[in-house]
Amino acid sequence: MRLSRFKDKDLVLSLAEKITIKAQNLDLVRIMHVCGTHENSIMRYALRDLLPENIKLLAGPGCPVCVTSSKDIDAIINYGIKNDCIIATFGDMLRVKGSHHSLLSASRVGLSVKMIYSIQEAIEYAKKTTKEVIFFSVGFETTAAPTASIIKNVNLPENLAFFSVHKYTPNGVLELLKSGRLNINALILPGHASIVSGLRPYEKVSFDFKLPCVAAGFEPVDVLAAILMILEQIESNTSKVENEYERLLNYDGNKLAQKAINEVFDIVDSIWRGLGTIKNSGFEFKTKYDFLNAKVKFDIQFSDEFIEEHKGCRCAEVILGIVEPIQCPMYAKLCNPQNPIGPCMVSDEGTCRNWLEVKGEI
Amino acid sequence: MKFNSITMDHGSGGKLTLELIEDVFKAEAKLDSAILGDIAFTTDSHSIKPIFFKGGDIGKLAVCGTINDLLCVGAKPMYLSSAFIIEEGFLIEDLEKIAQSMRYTANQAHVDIVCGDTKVVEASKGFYINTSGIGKIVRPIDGTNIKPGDQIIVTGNIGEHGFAILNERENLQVSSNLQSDCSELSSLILPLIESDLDILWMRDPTRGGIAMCLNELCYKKDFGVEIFEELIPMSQEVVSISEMLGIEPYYSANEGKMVIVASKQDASKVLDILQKNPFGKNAAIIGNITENHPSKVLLRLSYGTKRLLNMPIVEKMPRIC
Amino acid sequence: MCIGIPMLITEIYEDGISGVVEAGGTKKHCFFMLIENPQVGDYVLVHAGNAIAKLDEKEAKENLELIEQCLLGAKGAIE
Repeated sequence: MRLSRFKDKDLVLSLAEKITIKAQNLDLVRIMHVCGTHENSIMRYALRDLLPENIKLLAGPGCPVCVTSSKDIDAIINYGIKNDCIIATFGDMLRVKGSHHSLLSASRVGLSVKMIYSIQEAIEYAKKTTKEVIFFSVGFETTAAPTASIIKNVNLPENLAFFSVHKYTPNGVLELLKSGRLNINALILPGHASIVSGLRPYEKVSFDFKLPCVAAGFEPVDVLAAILMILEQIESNTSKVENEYERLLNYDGNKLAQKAINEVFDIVDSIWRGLGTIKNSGFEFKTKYDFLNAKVKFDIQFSDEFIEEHKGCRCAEVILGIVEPIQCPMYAKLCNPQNPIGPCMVSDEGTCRNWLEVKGEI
Repeated sequence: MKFNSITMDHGSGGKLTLELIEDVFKAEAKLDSAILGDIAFTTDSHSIKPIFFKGGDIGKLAVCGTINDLLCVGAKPMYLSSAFIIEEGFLIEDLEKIAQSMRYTANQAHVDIVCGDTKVVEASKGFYINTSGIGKIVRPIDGTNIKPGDQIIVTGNIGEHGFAILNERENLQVSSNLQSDCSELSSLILPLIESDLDILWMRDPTRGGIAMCLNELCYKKDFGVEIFEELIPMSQEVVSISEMLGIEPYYSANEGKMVIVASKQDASKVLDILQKNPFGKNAAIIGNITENHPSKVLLRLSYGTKRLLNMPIVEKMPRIC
Repeated sequence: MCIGIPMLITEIYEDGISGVVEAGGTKKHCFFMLIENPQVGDYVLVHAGNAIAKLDEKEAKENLELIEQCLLGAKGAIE
């Protein structure tokens, strides 16, 4: 296995060199990625240092934790505090603030929370307790597919229920582009989410908006190779969907995963934090799964009075690539990792958090 | 940042701990031990979940932590106290194991545990050990003469304790050979202190990992720190678990390592001595002190790119995305 | 989204849908319901305890060769 080659120094430097040469003949190129792991990798290896001035890499709405609505967070916290149950979820979800509380801060006022790393852990945990366990199921199609297949194939303990806040990426991206709020020249498509959805859903994005789109992996070589492929498309004045991540990503997606999702979930309208309700962009359980859908099983109440964006927060604009984190007056001051006001400050994948970790308080 | 009450992050050894020391205790976080003439004096409280872990237990941790803190300032560790706060219902059998492990570790380091105290609190309030320690200064190492060009050495693979504990505590169902590096370092560090090699500063990079430790090194100073990704020693286990959890090894705690600043001319001699000891076989020079970017820690990546390694602000959580 | 790392299948349980994966000495429980015909010795991409794709070694090799070739061309252009 020569996977380490995807981190190879010479290869990375040669790619950067070729990008620089190509960029000389181009105007400003604004490339957006829509995946937090891309941002994490770009920051971790400081790949922006390798790019010429006129190639801008923007971080789009790519963190499922960051786009989770306060409405959902409030609902689970309110239910969980009043009832004897345990909320299980992934580590980075814990600090995302709803209108008033995050799951973590609510745990100091009576909410029982368990951090888990995989759904298997939630199952094992539920088996060991007599209490109701609600898995707050967050993530794009990459995580929705495993949730669906486990629900279909594994004997689940009766005291385990699911609260779906899963989102579907392609329609989220499409709606954003339709809104006309994005000012970009090309898209890097999310390698892992696309493993499930495949790349066909993005053909419409590429065609309708004349955007070069390249799906990429997460190693430095992947990201730079994708940028090079984008520049080549721009140079030859084409816009199509290409696949840089062929070692794992099949153009048609993962059929088993799609089948599992289609059997368990309906695609529904969903609120993306800071962006509003996006048509057909979320996954909700089909009615035949009411018995494990926590929202139905426990008749969880939702309030329409929720605070999505705290006053002064510019996360929505950060997510759209309109402003950089440092342009937000609260960045690193009122809004910080210990007390995140905007969702982008929460996860290591959030753009503001990433900037703060790597660039400091400026 | 202003808080009305203490949060877990105030105890994570990161930026908030430092703020607490300055703003509330009106003190200055300087060295791991106080230097009082010929005497070094330090204290350290320990709480850890789980109490018994791969590579050690809370007793061993308490003894090692205090011994290592004394070594940091150039002292030969001599005497320890040990105070227990024990919840009602705690098993005597477990307490015996912990006491046995403390005695064994202290013996290894030729240190005597000379006094102690025991308090019992209500059930499920936890189990805590405080150890204070006295050492005899061989020569004071207090960081006063650090200058640009000085070399930064780490005595072995980083990040092991933090990942091993996180895995056990959160029951991440990851099975790994990884174990805590919990160990007292007197056999490794005393020869350096007793030598005439130019050693300027030492600290054991515990909570917050080497990221925190190096930030403390240049905190409010007129110099900065520069380290090189390629030179930092880490095991394959740490690399893979770090990728799995999405937490970088620089932020993961160590309990048996030392970060040493030595002058340029003596750094390779220090390294030779370290590498001859089994505890130091993976020791490496990982970077240097620089006059550029004062008070900041810069991580230089193999691609020639660079980024800041900031003081950890909140405890890192495994991420799904 | 999302963290996913390539791991080697080292064991498949009798149920046929779960087993053990390994990377760099670290082992973990994994479900295989989302990949066709899992075999011990396959490299898979694991996300949140589920294999979501098989790593295609041939594609990985071709992938690299393509990038390398493309760069050889670029070097020529610089000189």
